[in-house]
Amino acid sequence: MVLKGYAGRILFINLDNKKAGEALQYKTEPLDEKILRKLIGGRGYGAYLLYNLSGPTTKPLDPQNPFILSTGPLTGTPLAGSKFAVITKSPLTGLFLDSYSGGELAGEIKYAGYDHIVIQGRCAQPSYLFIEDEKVELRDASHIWGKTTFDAEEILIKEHGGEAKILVTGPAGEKLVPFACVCTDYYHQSGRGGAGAVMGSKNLKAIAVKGSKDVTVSDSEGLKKFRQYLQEKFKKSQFGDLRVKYGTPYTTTTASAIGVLPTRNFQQGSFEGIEKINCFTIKEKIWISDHGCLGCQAPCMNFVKAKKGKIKLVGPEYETIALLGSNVGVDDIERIAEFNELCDAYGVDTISCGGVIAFAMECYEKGIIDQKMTDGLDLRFGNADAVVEMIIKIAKRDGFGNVLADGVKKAAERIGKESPHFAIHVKGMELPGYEPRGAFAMGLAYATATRGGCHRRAKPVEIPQDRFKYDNFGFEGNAQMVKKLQDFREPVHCGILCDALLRFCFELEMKDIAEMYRLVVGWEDISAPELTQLAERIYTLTRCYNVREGMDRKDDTLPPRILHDPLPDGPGQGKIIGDETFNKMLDEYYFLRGWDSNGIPTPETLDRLGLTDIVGALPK
Amino acid sequence: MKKNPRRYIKSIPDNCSGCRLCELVCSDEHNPNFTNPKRSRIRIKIEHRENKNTPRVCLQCEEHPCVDACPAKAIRIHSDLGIPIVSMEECTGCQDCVLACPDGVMYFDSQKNVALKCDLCGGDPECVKNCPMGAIVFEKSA
Repeated sequence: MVLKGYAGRILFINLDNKKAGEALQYKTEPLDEKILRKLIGGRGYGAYLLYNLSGPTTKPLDPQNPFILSTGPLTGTPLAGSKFAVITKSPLTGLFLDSYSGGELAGEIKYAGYDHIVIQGRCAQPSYLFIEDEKVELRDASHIWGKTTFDAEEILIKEHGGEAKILVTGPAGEKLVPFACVCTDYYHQSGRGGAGAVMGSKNLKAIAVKGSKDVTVSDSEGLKKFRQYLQEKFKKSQFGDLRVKYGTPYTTTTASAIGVLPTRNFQQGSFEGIEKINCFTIKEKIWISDHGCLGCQAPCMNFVKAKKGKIKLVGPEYETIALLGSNVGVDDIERIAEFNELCDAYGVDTISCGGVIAFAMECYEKGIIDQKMTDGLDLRFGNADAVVEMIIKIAKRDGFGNVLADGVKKAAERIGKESPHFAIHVKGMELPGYEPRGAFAMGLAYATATRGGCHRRAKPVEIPQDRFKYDNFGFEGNAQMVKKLQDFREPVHCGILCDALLRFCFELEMKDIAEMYRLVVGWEDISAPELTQLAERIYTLTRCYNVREGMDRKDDTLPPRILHDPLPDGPGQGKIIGDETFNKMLDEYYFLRGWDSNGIPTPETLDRLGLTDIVGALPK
Repeated sequence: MKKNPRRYIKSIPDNCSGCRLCELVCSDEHNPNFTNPKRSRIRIKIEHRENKNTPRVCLQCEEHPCVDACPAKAIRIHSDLGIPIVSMEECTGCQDCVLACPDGVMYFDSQKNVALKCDLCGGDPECVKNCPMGAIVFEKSA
């Protein structure tokens, strides 16, 4: 392969009802160089693979649903923090899912000589995959099946002498909980959307990867200078230092003040106990040291110990503090760390898990459910012991846990009465830690994120007015801002480097991302406008995947509470997003994306973006 | 020969975040345009569960048992730097130096069959320049 950065190959594995020790069906194929520059890698190329390998008849937990580990040309290079993506059809939403994780595995996939690993089929019995360069083996996992992610990973690391990097799912994945996550390096999770359940459905407990090949770059001298440039950008950036010092929990300092901190199942936007769970309390009470992902110049993660050292983990991140702290009414950072560790151990997404427990708590306080239904648990907001019980019950699908274990949308269908009004999700995915009524554009970001209620494609909260002109409590400028923020992430998620690192610590612009691709891949003429068009292409491609699943405008909406009820507190007090404002934002957004008024990409748009042949016929 | 001041890369484990950027840049520096941390001359020992990260690299000790152990005489003291340097061309991959190193910081590239030892990048170590945490520093003691 002439292009640098890429390993150049995709590994396709069919588990095909095989037992450990039996020869596996697998093959490698070269990357399709014709479409490489159109989709680059990571989320873009991965979406193309998923588009071709699955469709409306593929159920998320079918053996044929592809589980794709994607990297990009920038992954594993001496540039900045690397990530990988899991790309699959989500068991939580039934739609396109891309879920990212840092740690060390991303680089190792490249060093083993692959850009993407595509896994289909199902093992006959619990197994794990061992991939070392050309060697691909299915091995027995009966000794780690049922084990927590921590224990399973520790056992595999011992077995493989430390050099293999491990991806593992927990007991919740085995039980097909649709918000089960996958974990790597103990403390890194592809959290959202249920990749862990897809592994569980394949009887696949883990994937171990070890690689001895090199990742190439086009211009290593140029990269040296670029790393210096990154150091300068870091020094000048507004949040770089704070990001390293406090990590994502720094968001707690403002979220409550500006009224976007989800509190008691999104009944409020600020929390009276914020001082006890903010980043300063973390630093003072539980912080031990900093932790970074492979190649990261701004290690933003906190290694903490709580409850006299019994609890130890990297975290809790902001979203966990919001969803398993204020949103369940708990104001004790040590208990939040405990919830976090439990979720990681059992392998459930802290955001969705916090969302669904908070929902149950509101049902309980409103008398919609009682202790007979909750297996005797007193599910009041703030009852930390009950949260602990519920996390375990959900992960094991035990008793009342099984009512909640399929996510808040299904739980509300099961519980009924007025509960769907406050089931806080978009497209079945529970909302993360930003209350849209305190920043209306966030509502649009949630409604239009491909994977559902997600903050990682655009986070239009606290954006300075000198960067974008927009109305925080209206519609003007919001669609433009959300699209631009989404577009910036696309080429980064194709890289794959850490979007948060590039955006917040280095404050990079599209031209910088283009420069990275020039230095690594050797595309001498790549430019910011080309990457902006690439972003539009990939956003529309993932949209087409969802449209093919039957999704349209009716699904691009917000939970009834968020859309229609006023917020009782904070700067957004009394403000209602409402249908009119929301629809204006959505209309403008569709227009900017070149989608019709029903949210379907038009033939002209597909043509302009060079997607016509890739996408084929869409439902009218 | 005049005695050079001892120069080496000192590690401060408490500062290390375990990002391994040092490994990536080391591997690229010694084989430009190619990267795999398994070819790095500095390695971070990571104990995940405790987030204990220890940069481990040649201390440029004055006894240099690696030099004495090499049957091919492929490790020689560099006249300017005053530290042992492995000649990639002459190294036979026998790993006697790896066994001889009391600190376990002589590494081995099993792909290329050569010993890997820190050469201080000729006097301006790339890993130190790139470490974001100050977990490795270039020491120049007399």
